[in-house]
Amino acid sequence: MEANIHSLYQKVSKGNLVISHEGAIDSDLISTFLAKVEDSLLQDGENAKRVRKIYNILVEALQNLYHHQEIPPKAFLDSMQIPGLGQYVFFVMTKENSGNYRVTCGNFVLKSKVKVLRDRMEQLNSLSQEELKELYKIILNNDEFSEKGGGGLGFIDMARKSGNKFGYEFINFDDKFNFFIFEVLVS
Amino acid sequence: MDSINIEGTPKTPTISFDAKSGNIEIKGRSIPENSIEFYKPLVDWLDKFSDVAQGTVNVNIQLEYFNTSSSKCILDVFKKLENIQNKNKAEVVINWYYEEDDEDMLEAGEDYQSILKIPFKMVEIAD
Repeated sequence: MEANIHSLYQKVSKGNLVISHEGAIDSDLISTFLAKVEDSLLQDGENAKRVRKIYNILVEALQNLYHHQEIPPKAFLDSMQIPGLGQYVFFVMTKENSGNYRVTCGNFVLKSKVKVLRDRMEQLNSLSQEELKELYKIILNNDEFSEKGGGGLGFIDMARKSGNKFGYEFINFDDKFNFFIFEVLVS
Repeated sequence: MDSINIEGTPKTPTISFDAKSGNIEIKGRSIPENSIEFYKPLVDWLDKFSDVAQGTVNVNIQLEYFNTSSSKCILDVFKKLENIQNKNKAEVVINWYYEEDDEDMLEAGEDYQSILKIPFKMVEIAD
């Protein structure tokens, strides 16, 4: 099973790669990625409006991973052969021939939290732009911050900004974890 | 009452809160992982400022990017400003700046406007 996640990462890392990473993620790494992607988009001649949209989605995707890193079993971490690795997520951004950008994230999710997350994905994929806007405002205006420090708005914001439906999959890992693959397209 | 002046970083905005002139400015990028840590002192400052504010409180928000974690904190800032307005001692005006082709930023300002009961002025920045 361990090998599957790494090969999955390799599989989504194919194509015209803008950035890719597997392992732990921290604040400095997020800053580095964001600066690198912004530079590379501008160098590619993307217009400012599109760069802003992609940048915004990237911030949310990366910070989602940052706030929701779980510690997977030691055997899995050891199999990665990355010295000192304590957590694991992956993150891939590719540019497709159509000119669209695809952002794919992978992280471990506790089985107890899968249903809530799956329901959230289904819900967001079913809503229109107008409904997403209303939901965003309702959640913005409640006073709650989640235990991980997120505001519960990240996915809604990505749905609004991308204008596309999310791709997602929950892969059975062991008794405790599923591996969650999340994909957002910026067209 | 002391002012707050904070230099911007790639992830946090430039802050200039001046009690004397009543000018309040947030400018740049607001994308920290932990936004509560950054905004808490600002929200606390506004709490104290609400006791002394008078005349016109001129608020300039000129953000290039902000993450969803900041969006809640920015709403907290606005709610404190709404309190000041409600005390009837000062008039609060919020100027929300956006680049001319940045519809997402304009829409973000309109989202706040629809939640709050303080006057918003949408200000387009021409290139």
